[in-house]
Amino acid sequence: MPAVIISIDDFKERIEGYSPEHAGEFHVRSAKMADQEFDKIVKDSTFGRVIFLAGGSASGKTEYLHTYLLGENAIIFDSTFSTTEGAGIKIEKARKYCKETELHFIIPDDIKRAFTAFLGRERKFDDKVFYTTHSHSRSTLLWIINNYPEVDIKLIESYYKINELRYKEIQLQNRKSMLEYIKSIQYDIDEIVKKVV
Amino acid sequence: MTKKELKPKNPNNNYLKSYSKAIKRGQKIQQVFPHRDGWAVKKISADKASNVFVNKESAIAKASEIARNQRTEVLIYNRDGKISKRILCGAK
Repeated sequence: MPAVIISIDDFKERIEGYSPEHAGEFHVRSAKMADQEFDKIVKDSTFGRVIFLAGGSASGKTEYLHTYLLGENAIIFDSTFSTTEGAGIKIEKARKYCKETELHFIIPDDIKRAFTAFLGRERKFDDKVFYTTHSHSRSTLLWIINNYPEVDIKLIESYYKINELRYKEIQLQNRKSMLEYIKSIQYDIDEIVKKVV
Repeated sequence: MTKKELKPKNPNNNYLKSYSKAIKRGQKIQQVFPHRDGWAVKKISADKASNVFVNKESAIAKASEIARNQRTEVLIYNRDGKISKRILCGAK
């Protein structure tokens, strides 16, 4: 059975009057629609697995999904996980319905490249969205590793070579070394701004 | 820590192509930002500013001229490094 994909960006396109130039104005509504869809599917479907995708804007999450995950027998939620509250609610829902939970977290090797893609894509958002999602998704990841030991976390590095987006899995010996690595890549918003200017 | 290359299961899909297009479009964007000698104009993908002007208006005018010719846009930055204004110049 192919994966069921729940994507906030896909829901934007279903809202009347949507235009990519004003994508930011449709985000709250589309996120709510995606949350409702997730609640329904996680409760009703027979899938035993949920894969959450997370990471900052334009880090390559959706591209990763369509390159590697379409054949997975799972519910896939394409998000950023910019808040611990939102992430926690979804993980708890998956736990409530006895789903195995994975988090695939996408980290761009070059945050400036991700910012260039963010600015160049058709869906336009305020630049604050970029800084916030790249900063807060990393702190959410740290929070998840500390609070949800049952969540299987995969760290995926995106990189851009010969005009193509590619991926590597970052492999660490154990959860403790993963925790240390995640701590080392925490940045506040001002640090993200400095990295892309 | 080791890094393992992931072989694409679905290579050359439209999402990967769109990402490459976004990067190409993004690389052409002109930036106007504070410089020690005034205000600089720089293409995002360039290492150095193409022009530096004493006043901000002249820098914006130059960046807009380049952006019009290249069908891209201009980003004007504050001193804190955040974008204060975005000017579309027939960008597609």
